[in-house]
Amino acid sequence: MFGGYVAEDWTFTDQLGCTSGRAINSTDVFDANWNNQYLDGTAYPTGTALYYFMGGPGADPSYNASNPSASEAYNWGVNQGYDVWWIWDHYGPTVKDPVVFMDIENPGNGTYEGWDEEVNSCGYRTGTTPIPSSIDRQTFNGFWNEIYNNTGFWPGVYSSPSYWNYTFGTGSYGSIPNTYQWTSESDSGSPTPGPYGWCQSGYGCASWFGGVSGSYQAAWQFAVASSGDWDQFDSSNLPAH
Amino acid sequence: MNDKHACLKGARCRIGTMVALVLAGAGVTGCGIQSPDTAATAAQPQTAPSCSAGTLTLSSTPLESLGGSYLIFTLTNTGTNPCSATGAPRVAVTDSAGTPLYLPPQAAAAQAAPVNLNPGDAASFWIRFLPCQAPPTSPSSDIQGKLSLTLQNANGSLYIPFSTSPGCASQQLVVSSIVQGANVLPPGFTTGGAPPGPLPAGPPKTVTGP
Repeated sequence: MFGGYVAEDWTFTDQLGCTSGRAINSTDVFDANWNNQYLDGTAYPTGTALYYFMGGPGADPSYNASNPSASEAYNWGVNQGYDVWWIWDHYGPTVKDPVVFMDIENPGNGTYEGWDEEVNSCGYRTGTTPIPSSIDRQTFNGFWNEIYNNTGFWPGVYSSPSYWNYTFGTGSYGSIPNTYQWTSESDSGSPTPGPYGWCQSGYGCASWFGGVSGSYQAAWQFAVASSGDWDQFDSSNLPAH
Repeated sequence: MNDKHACLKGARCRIGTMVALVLAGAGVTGCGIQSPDTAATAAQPQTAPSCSAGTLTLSSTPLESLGGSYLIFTLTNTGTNPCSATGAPRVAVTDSAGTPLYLPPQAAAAQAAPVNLNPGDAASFWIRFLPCQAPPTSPSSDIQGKLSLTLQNANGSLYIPFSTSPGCASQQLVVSSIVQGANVLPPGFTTGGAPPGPLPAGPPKTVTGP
């Protein structure tokens, strides 16, 4: 059974004109939505959701490293939230699970997302001044509020505990107890034996961040290998199907 | 007779089995086995000599995705003669002077046919960087160097500037084989979009902040 799929809505490097190309597999979109719609039972698969490869305040072309502006950082998040909706509204794909996950990670390909550093439109570092967690949180809040209030989607976040805590800290700026969370802890690299109850025998259990618990623990990326990503979703913890 | 049945069902046929069946007049055509005469006369695609790094230019562009991002590379033949490039390049990280620092773990790519490049022609390949769990470090701590890309059967390597966090040095790479054309995207990526679909109504939203 194909349980769910999360398609790439857009990236901040697309928005800034450096890149093009969305990671969307139309077959996977169809399969996930089909299963969501036609399977019987109480635990419905998740269907297709969206993610957005998000730019932190340091990716904002108007970011001022010597005097970061909270309102500018907030508006940068709002702008990205609006763009996510606009791209989806014009280009799809069909979504059965109305969540947009903010993708907040270290890409590792030599580019960065601008949460901890200034970057250009392609994500390459342009400055060395650290970005305060308070400013990062403004961008997060702007995106969250735009998605929540104006798009019909629910905001979610994909990150890893180490990256999240480094960027937002473990205090109030990093606290997101009411945000659907997709946590990444892919160091096992093994899709087998597969997780059960947020744990995989022999490899440990999911770690969460930002103080999330219970019904906002939406997904766990328990393995990433050259063959693909392996994720566990709790459909009962996600919004309407 | 068991061998005969296996062959007629389209399974692999051993040469010894084929000979036995032909002699028996069992009719084994369709098993994909050519006679020596047929094989000798089949048209063979001409492969140009392997490209050397000195007659190629390399450009790259990032392509971001969740749980592992990409670099897309385009090779262009700037020489005056046709040449060919084959398979997946070997990747190393060097310092700015080109001295090797480390070899990232690299998944083996499937064997691929050589790609012929006439002067001015372009070919592509991509590297997928599997997720790096390490957070970024200060720029002064970063590894500042180059990616060294060595083509199979080629003389020399090609380089692009590259920096990464020290914690990402063990990050596994997946390197594609070289294919014809510039900026060819990995499987699963699209430059277009599907028509927008209906968004199902969600439950009442009751939370007031992240």
